[in-house]
Amino acid sequence: MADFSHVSITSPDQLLGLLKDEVAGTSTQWWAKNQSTVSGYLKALAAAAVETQASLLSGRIGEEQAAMILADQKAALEQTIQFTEYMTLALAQMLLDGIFGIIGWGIFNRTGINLFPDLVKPVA
Amino acid sequence: MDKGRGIPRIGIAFALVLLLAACAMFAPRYDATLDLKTTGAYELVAGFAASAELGSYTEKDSFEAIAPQYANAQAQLAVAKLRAATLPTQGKAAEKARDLLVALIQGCSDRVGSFARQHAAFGIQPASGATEPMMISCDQAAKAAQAMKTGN
Repeated sequence: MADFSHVSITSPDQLLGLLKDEVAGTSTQWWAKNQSTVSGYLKALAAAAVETQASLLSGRIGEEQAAMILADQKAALEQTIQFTEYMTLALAQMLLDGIFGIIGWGIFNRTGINLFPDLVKPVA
Repeated sequence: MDKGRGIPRIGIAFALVLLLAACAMFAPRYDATLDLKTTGAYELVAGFAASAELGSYTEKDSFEAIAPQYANAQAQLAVAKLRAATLPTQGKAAEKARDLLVALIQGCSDRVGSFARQHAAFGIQPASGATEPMMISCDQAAKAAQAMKTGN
């Protein structure tokens, strides 16, 4: 992990660049696979973190609330990882359903037997 | 080997493979109630976020008037979570997907709860970064609940 002990965040774009570099540096393969799903959420979280920093600096929010907000931002980022895992499995199921939907319709249209009632839904 | 007896066995095996393949092996099937409840909660959440960013929640006293709407969102998410937790699955991958779906709905509920507690304790200042975690968590929960819809 890079040394961020002297980092000073002044804009969402600067923070977003650092976050992307950190994620891509940790796992190039994961980033390449999930970039399209994660980028929008990462951008929103970077903007939110900079807003929280500015609000704390200006005294609009106190330390206790800032800690709660940042804990929520961290939790949302952790959930984003879970979201990518779920969407990978959902995509696999959709591919399976797509393939066997075609086979199911083929069998149904030739034989009248519906082997996949979840996938083949003839209009009555 | 008796070919006359072998063919039906192959046919039965093929049919079983097809039936197995048609099961929810990687993710649970789409559930309309789950989608309705998760999306309904997300729409309420979007309303909370918009009001907060417009400055309607800057005073903590504004919480009382909104409290029933927070309760409504949490009730919808509780139904969605129970619905997701009981979706039928086939195999470990689909069980994992179901657990992830439950976790995503729970995450949305946790962020709504945290946002409501902040509202009651401090008020919510616009552009303080408080709305985004709730919106992100609930957006992901709603997308996950709808993900299998196109498969139908």
